Parts: sequence; C-alpha cells; structure tokens
Amino acid sequence: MKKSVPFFLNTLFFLHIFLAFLVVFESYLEIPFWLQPLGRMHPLLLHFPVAFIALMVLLNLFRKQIDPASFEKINYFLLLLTSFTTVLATIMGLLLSLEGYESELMTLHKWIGIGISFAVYAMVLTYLHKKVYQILLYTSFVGVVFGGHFGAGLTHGSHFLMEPITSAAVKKIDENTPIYTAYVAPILEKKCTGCHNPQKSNGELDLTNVEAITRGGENGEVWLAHNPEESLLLQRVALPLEDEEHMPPDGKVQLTSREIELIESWIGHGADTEISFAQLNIEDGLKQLLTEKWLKGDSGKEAYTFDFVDTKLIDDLNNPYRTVVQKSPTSPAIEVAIFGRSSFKAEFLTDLAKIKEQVIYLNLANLPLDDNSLKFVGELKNLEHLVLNFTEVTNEALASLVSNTKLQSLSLAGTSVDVAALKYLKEIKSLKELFVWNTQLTDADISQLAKELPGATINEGYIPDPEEKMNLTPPTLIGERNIINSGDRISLGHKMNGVSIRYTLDETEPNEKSELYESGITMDLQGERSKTVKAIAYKDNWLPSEVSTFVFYDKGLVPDGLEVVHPGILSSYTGEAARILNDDAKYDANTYYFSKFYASFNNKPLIAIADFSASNPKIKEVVLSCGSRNGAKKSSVMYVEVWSSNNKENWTLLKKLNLAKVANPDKLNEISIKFPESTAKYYKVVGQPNTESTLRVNQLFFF
Amino acid sequence: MEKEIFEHHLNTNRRHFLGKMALGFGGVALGSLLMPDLLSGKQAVEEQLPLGLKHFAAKAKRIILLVQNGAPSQLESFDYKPKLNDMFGQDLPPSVRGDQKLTGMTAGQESFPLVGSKFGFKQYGNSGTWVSDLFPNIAKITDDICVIKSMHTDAINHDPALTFMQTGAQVGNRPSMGSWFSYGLGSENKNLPAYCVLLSKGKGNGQGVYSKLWSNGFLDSSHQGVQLSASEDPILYLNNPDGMDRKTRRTMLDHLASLNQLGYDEFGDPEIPAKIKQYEMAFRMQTAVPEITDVSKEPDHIKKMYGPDCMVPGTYAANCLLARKLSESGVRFVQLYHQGWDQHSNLVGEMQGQAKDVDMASAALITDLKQRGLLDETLVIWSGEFGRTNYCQGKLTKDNYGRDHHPRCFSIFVAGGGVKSGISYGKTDELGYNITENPVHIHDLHATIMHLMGLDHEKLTYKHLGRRFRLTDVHGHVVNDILA
Repeated sequence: MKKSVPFFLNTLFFLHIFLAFLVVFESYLEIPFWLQPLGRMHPLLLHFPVAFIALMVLLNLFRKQIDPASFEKINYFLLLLTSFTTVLATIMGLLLSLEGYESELMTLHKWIGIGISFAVYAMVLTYLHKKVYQILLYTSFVGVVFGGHFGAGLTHGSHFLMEPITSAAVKKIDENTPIYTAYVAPILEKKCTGCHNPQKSNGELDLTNVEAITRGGENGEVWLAHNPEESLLLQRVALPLEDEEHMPPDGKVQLTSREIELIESWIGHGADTEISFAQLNIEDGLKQLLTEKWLKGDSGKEAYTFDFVDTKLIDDLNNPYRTVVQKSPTSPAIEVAIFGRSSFKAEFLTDLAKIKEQVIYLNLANLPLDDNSLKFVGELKNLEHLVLNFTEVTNEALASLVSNTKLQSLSLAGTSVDVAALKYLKEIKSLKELFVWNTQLTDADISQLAKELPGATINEGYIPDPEEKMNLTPPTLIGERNIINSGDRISLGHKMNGVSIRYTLDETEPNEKSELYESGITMDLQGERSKTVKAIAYKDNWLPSEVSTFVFYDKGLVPDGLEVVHPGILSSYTGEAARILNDDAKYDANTYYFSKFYASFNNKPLIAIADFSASNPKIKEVVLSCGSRNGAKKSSVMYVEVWSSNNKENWTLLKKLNLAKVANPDKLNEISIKFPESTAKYYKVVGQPNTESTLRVNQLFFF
Repeated sequence: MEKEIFEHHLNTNRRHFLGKMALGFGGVALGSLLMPDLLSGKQAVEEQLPLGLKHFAAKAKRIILLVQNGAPSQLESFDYKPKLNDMFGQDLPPSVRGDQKLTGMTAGQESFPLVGSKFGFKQYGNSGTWVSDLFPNIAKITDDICVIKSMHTDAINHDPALTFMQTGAQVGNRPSMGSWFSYGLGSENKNLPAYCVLLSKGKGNGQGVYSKLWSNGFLDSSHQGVQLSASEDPILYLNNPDGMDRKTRRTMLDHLASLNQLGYDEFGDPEIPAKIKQYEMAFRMQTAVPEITDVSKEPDHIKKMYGPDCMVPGTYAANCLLARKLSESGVRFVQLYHQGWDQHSNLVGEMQGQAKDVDMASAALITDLKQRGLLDETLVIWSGEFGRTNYCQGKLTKDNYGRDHHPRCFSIFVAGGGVKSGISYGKTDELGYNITENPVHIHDLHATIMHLMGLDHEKLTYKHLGRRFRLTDVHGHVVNDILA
C-alpha cells in the first residue's frame, strides 16, 4: 500500500494532464482507427466509477459503524481506484465522442464526465480537508446521476426512460382531427406553455387547454375569432424582438413564419377548435395553406424504402461520360446523367441495371436513344425525373414509360413526339410536370392532354409571335483572309440555317434580286488592286440583314523572306512586325488601329528588308498600308524611302516621299511609292515616324 | 494512512516537482500523438471531407452567374423610389448618410442632390414586382424570379467589391466561387471544365475584369475557371494541329502521361497528376465541345428569344445562349461578365444601352431553362458588385445625371434551383440609401448559394497556410426566407 500510493498519485496526475490536453485541443484531434476500440470500451469501463462513487457515498454515510483505521485504508484506496477508473472512462469517452456524436445531450454528458473526473481527482488532492472532500463527493454523486442519465439518452434515445408513459399520449393525426389539436395546440405546447401553464402561469395565462385559453390572461383574451389583427397572441408575436412585450421573450425559441401564418389563418377562419381539415372547403385559404405548407412538407421528405448502394459500386459506375451520384449522404436515392452524343453506347444505360431500384433521376438529353433504351428506362421503377430533351425518342417508345409509376417530371423538349404520343403520356398518372416545348404537339393536343392529366403542369415554352420579325445578322466572311490572288475563291457564311445570301461585286447595294451565293465566289480582280463584295442575308419570317462589305486586295508579288530590323514599340502589338506586314489579312484602321494587327514605331523607324533573290521579279511600286484614323490632324509619317541592293550591303535609294505635311493626314491609309522598274534582289523600305507621332503599319505590298 | 499521505505531500520537493513536470509533459506528449499536425511541423494531409459528395440533398445542380460588371443602378432597375423624384435636387440628409464613407470621386462634392429614376416603373406579374421600363423582358418573367433589394457589401470600389463578390474576400488569392463548387462537387460532365467563364462588353463606361476573378486561389489548379473566347472557336488550342489525327494524339498523350507519372513518382508534386487529368479532359473535350456549339437541331425561334445579337460571338446574348448550352451539358458553374455598368455620368444614356444588351437575353435564358425543365435544377443569379448612390455625381440636369458607388444597398435577382419565385425580398428606406428590412450580405448570399447546391458553407473548407479557409470565411447565414 505504502509503495503503491505515490505510483497511483503520479499516474493520476499524468492521466489528468492528458485529459486536460485532450479537452483543450479536442477540435484538432484525429483518432487513428487502431485507437478506436479503446474509445469504444467507454460503455464497459464507466460502470466502475459509477459503482465506486456510489460505494464511497455509502461508506461515508456509514463511516461511524466502521472501525476508523480500516475505514481510512478502504476509503483512501477506493478513492484512488475511483479516480483512476473515472479518468480512464472519461478519456475513453472523449475518444469515442470524436467518432462523431454531436448533440446537446453529448455536450452535457461530456462536460459532466470531465467535471466528475476532475472533482474526484480534487478529492484525492484535498483528502485531508474533510469538508471540501465531502462536498466534492456528493457533488460527484449528483453528477454521476445526471451524467449517467444523459449518457443513457445517447445510446437509447432521450425519451427512452419516459417513453412507456409518454407514448400512450401521442394521438394519430388524420384529416378528421381538429386542426386545433393537430397543428395549433402543438405549436403552443412547443413555444408557449413552458411559461403559460397551470403551475407557472405568467401573466395569469394558461395556454395548455381550450378552456383556460378562452378564459384569457390578465391582459384579456388570447385571440378574437375572424380577427387576427386584433388578436393579442399575434400582436405580441409581431412586436420587435427587443420589445419588452414581445413573445416568446428574447432568448426563447421563436415562432417560425410558417407557424405564425397558420395561426393567423386559423384565427381568421374563426378560431374554431373543432373544425378539421376534412370539413374545410377547397377554396378556404386555411385549407390551401395546410395543403401547401404543412401536408406537402411532410410528404416531401419521402423516405425511400429501397436499400443504399455500395459506394464502391457507385464509383465503378462513374466514367467520363456517366455521372452517378447519391442524392445525399442520408438518402439511398441515386441521380444519373449521361453526356456525349458521339461517345454514347447502349451499355452506358444498361449498366444501370445494378442500381435499377435506386435511380430516381435520369438525364439523357441530346443522346441518340433508340426504343430499346426507353424500354430499359421503363424498368426503373422508382424513377421520378426523366430528361429526354433533343433525343430521338419516338411516340411508340413512350409506351415504355407507362410502367414508371413514380415518374413526376418528364422533359420532352425538342423531340419529335406528336399527337400519337398522347395515349401513352396520359397513362403516366403520377406526372406533375411535363415539358413539351419545340415538339410536334399542337395547342389542341396539349389542352386535351391537360384534361387527361389534371395534376400535371404542362409547359409549352416560348412560342414566337409570328408577327414579330427581327433583323438577321449580316453575312460573315469565312476566315480572315482578305488579301488574295486573282482567281482565288472566297467563302461567306451565316450563323443561321436556311439563310440565303445575295451579293454584288460592283459596289452596288445588293437586294433580293442580286446574285445568290452558293458555295463560294471566284474573285477576278480584272487588273484592279482591290475588289469589293457586298452581301446581304434573307430568310422567311425574318427581316433582311444589314449589308456587309468585304474588300479584297491584290496580293501582288510575295517576297521569299521579309525581315524587320527593329520590332518597334510593343503594347497590344507583340512585336511580330514581319508577319503582320506579310500575312494575308489587312485590317481596317478605324477598328484595329490600336490592336495586335498593327505594328507600331516611334523612336526608331520601320526598316523592312524584303528578299526577292530567288524569284527576282520586276518591281516598280511599293505600297505601305498604314493606319490613319478618321479625324487625324497630323500625318503620322515623316517620309518613306525605298532602297534596292543586290547584296544587302550597298543600298541605292530608289525613291523618297516626304509626307510630314500631307494635305489630308486622316486619309493617309495607303502610301504608294512608285519608282523606275527594278530587278534588284533586295528592297529596303524605311518609314520614319513624324515627330512625336507613332507610325502604325499593317501590310506591305510589292507590285 | 494519513501519515503516509502527509509524508507524500511533504516530500514534494524540487526533484518531485521536476519529476511531476516530466509526467505532465508526458501527458501532453501522449496527447500530441493524436494530433498529427500540432508538433510535426509539416502541412497535414487535408482532413478528408468526402469531396464530390453533397452534405445534404441539393436543390440546384448547376449555377449560371450573370455578373453585371461595374454595378448597375438599383434605382433604375428594381428598387422603385418615387420619393427621390419628389425630392429632386434636394440635399441628402446627413442623418440618412450616417457615417458612410464616400469614394474619392464624390467625397469633395459640395452637395449631394437627390435624383430619382428618369425611367418609369411598373408592377408586373402576379407578384406585383416593381421593374423599371428599361427591362421590359425581365419584367415579363417576374413570376419566375426572386428580387433581393437588400443586398449589401463591404467594399466601395470595383476591384475589391468584385473580388469580394467572387471570392468572399476583398484581397486576391482566394478561390473564386466557381472554384469552390468545382472543388466541393466536382464536374457533372467530366468531359468539360466544371467552371467556365464568358466575357462581353457593353458600350457603357467599363471596368476591367481580370483572370484573378476566376482563379482557383490556393485550390488545385484543375478548379480554375476556363475562359471561353468570343471567336468561332470558343475554346482556343483545343483542336489537333494539321496532320495529327485522334489516334496519334491518343498515343502521344499516353506516352506523355507515363513520363509525367515518372516525374510525380520522383517529386510527388500534386500539380503533376492535375496536369495529367487536364490533358485527358482536353482530349475528351475535343469531341464534347463541337456537340455543344452545334445549334443545328435547335429551332430558329430560339434566336428570336435571345435576340439576333446571340448570333454575334462575344455579345452578352451569344454568351447567354452558350451558357445555357454549357450548363445543360453539365458544367457546374458558368459565369458571364458583362462590362460597362459604371454610370458615374450620363447614366440616362448609358444605362439604356446596357439594359438593351442584357434584358432580352437574361430573360430568354431563364425562359429557355424553364421550357426544358431545367430551371428547377439550375440557379441563375443576376448581380452587380454593389449599388449606386441616390444622389447625383457631377452635374445634375433635368435630363441626365450620374451616380457614384454605394455599398449599403443594391438589388439583384435569383431564379430557379430551389429559390422562391415571384417574390421581392428585403426593403430599403424611402430614399433608397439604407436597408430597413432583411439585409442580405454577400457572405449570406454565398452561404445560401452553397446551401442550394447541397453544401454546408461551414463545412466545405480547405487547409492552407495553417488554417482552414471557407468561401464565407467566418461569416454567412443561409437566407432561409427565400428558399422554396
């Protein structure tokens, strides 16, 4: 004994520090699986401290009957043992709680347990102070009673103890139960009778039974039939929460808007405590309210009777084209969506046979389904929601869906179903919503169906007003190429199907009599430097588009290579001057002046060197396409020079144009530099920006 | 016995003290074994929330967020304040303004003359929702939408406010909403990115948008928003180059993946498997994307619904149509930005143009989802980043005015996926400056959106730099009143 006391004391100290640590850092703890059995031994071990503490209470009560020396020995040893088992049980309990119990009851149980453990340890430390010791002992005992009760509540349910007594009182509610008994009284019971009952009738008010309510309280009647606005109960509820008079008082559980609405409607109806749901007229607001917000709410939480599917199976069923997910962690229902028209295989659907019972949602929009696919869908007995938009589903295939007796929502938008589908659709009595936009069903078909399916909302979707006409968008050029050789073909296009495009090549405005565009236009430049195509789009039931104008430029002579000495200044332009000057697209300055399609130069000039050493053609003109925007007041270029050379070292100036003071700087778009015909191998074009100006260039032509 | 206990206490000398301390430390040490990341010093493996699983049954499966970038005026759209017209030109009472700080643009103004909407308002639908004459098409669908007039935010300038709206924080580097959903729920269609972004620009005074707004922040880069381009080819660099067929591409990707795997085995960089996954998805996207852009099966009148602009790539209308197609094909989060809503001056002129850009297509998007039976499972949100002042910025004339930034209240609308339809929620005072009823903070909106998607905003976390981050940080309450 002597030797074991320090051992016990040290162990207890160690365990309590450990416990304190666990408590403080509880939210960070992660319990490895191999430690979990230790936690689960809590229900086994806890009975020791429970019994020991009870035993100590008994010992202390009868201490006078026991020989003092023996009492001390037994009592102290028992105390050490109690403390030891208590702290162990508490630590284990804490570990167990981390496995995921979360409730108010749990919190209470946990803190009482921890409290007892430290109280008993305090008893060990204060053993010599008899008074403190006694107080701690009895406190612990009370703690054990409550802690034990809450603990039992955790494992058996909080109503376990009183259940045999209380369950007899629960009455079954059906449509003949008075609304007061079924809905109003339970609200009062939950939110009001805590303070307004025969024992504790605050404000001299008792809300537990009809007679007492009719009697009212010190402030008068609780409610006035047909007059919810003047009814005290609702007035008090409606006051701001901070108001002294507000009920239930701040800090107590408040009435929900749904509850207030119901009481209001019930009082408005006459506050009849006997009237039942069945006795109400269908037009009564109260009946509608109950149907929509109280009865639906209950059935909305439909409990599925089928089993959960193994998560492994769900994982296996998922592939890049098929998404299979459980509706929520607490529901066995499964939602499936299949995507990818070109990748679709029949197995994507038939694989679901393994979860046939659980599939409640199926999205097959845009897939190439055949009648067999729909046969399979018909086997999904619990299916509630089916999306078949823009599939090839046929009228006959819909026959398979008659066996989906739980189907509530069916989307058939964009399918070819027509009047022949009605005989099947009307058999799906469970339908609540049906979407038939963009099908062959006519208004008459739909109103006929609506009669057959009174419980369903049928959505026809957007129906265009045939009178309303809109402008088409103008035709577009396919590709961005507008620099061509004579004889090249160009293509026009339009976003919409069935549009006819008409065009002219002589700069006149096109109209419905102009040339019809078919598969391309051969561009004969007829020796011109450019040619304009004007096009317009027409379509029945639409207004014609605006005219679009496309200018095509002669490509001229193409150098074997083009280099630009300084890249210029970079902004949205990224420095690829050589490519910009030599590609097949010329961009309008007013739109693209500050874009990546215009190379820009200010402190250093444009120096472009074109290599014609292989082809060695005759050249007599260079055209530099530079941008100048409408309204420009000053020329952006000081001069342009063209030099020639056969070795890239000795250059001869062919021509220099001074443009600093050009007459119309805002029209300076094409700078043409003509010179005597030359057959040099290399040409150098120098463009010197004007002072404090930026020269922007888009294309360089050689003719 | 007492003697022994007494002695034990007497013997508590320094050696015992130290001995006991050792025991105490032992207790702490044992406890720390249960906390892998307290003393180990290394980043813990993220506590494994079952990602890709909802926390509870979701109302909505997908989101389309229509960002009206620049902040459209609530006073010319949904928040009808006739009193402002009565008080035209009078100064904003200081008691209404309270301690609200102003932007640098109007802080120096000598007076704050109130100005009401130049555009008329009418009530529409069974719900009697007020909508201004600028939005005739949205007015037609008021019974399908829920207008929230009591939105408020913390920021008063565009960049922080937009960043806040997108990421739940005013500073950058946090994951965008779409990235959180991609992280929390994954993609519905694994052949497409879970998060797509579409941009368009109106003629009104604009504010830039930056890719940080759809960034994945500290989440895995596979969760970042994919910006689709306005050209004929919405996803750039997706097609195989000339001369490479699909089979060759497959072989190439297989070899590349095995090389990447070698790299991963050696360095363990989690970005490597993310990259392998992205390549695989891009390969599948090569067939998935053309199916989405194909409109041949759709009737012509769909274009009448969205307006003829929907045939011009890069317009808001075209983006709305594309958004519907992406969403319908299982893209979890599609986000549109329409720039040009920053009407500091010439509000009357600019706002007409902006409204014309978005009115028809926004309404068409909702109608289109509805007629396909998809509105119930798609949440559509139309929102700017803050509101505009009830007083005029700059010169006030009879015909024109401007409005400065106002964070204390603004109006948005939400539709579909589990939201009550045909209601207006929240109220502002009669001058449209302060909220008087049911305020909804940005954090609350985020919490509500997450709730509708089946996620608990307090539970979807990601551990980064030693703390767990959420979209709603430490705030946010689900707005239960607007849930259907």
